Amino acid sequence: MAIESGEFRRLVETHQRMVFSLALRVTGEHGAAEEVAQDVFLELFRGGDKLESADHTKFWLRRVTVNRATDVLRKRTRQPEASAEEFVEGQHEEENSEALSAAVVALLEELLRTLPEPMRVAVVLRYQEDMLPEEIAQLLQQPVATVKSNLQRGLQLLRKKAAVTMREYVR
Amino acid sequence: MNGPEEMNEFEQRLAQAMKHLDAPEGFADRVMARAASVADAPRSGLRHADHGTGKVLVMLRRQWISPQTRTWVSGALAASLVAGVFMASQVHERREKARVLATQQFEESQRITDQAMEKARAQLKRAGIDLDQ
Repeated sequence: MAIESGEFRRLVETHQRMVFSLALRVTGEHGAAEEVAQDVFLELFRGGDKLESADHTKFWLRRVTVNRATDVLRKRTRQPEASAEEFVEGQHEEENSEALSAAVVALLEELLRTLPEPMRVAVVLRYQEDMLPEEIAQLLQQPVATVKSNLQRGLQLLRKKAAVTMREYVR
Repeated sequence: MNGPEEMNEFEQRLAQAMKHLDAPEGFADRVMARAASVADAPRSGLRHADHGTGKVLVMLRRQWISPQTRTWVSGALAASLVAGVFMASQVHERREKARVLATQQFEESQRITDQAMEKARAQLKRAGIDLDQ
């Protein structure tokens, strides 16, 4: 993919929020997320010519990001305890978003980080990327039943944790 | 859990909380800088830090070597290997011959020395000096 054409920069600018958000929510760490996101785009740069359409590119970016982010997660020997503020700091919500307070969002992000990896990945793809279980299954190359199970168990865990930390949030 | 319309309240709020986040300031520029260095690497012939050795070899194989050239290179490598084995066996044979010759020369010199010693011993014995006593 030629840099001079501007095509690569356009792709980076179009997808950087998605790629970075996926990497951050899976790894739970800003530094690791940026590194993963940069590596993903470099891989796109090297092999992007093979991608046939915008949908194909998006699918590829999601898959590679999740794979690289989970690799980072698995290599990490110790799960660092990042503060909720770390997420709030790098987060700029849309102005027209719902009136969810930054504190609640940060707490949700922190709870998400406590989920086991397969559940976390499924939940992020489902609720951040608005993907259906079937699409997630295709992306992760897993059976749909596995994805649904991970989503269900992930949600249950989140609810339980939220019930303890955010009683007013869960009805 | 099959579509946004079927999400319960908790799921909807979760989806609202999980909006895309902005990438860090200057992210795109940093990616472009790394991409530019990667693009320069093959032209300069240097290995870029982002490549592992395996990746470089794969890249070289994919980008610069045609299938015909690859076949030719494989044949040349095989021929080099055979020639190497042949030369190694020749060297080994030469060294073995030299070793046998050296052994023969040593044994011959030993035999001559023994004879000379025996002759001197006999002459001394005749003069009344017996070295064995």
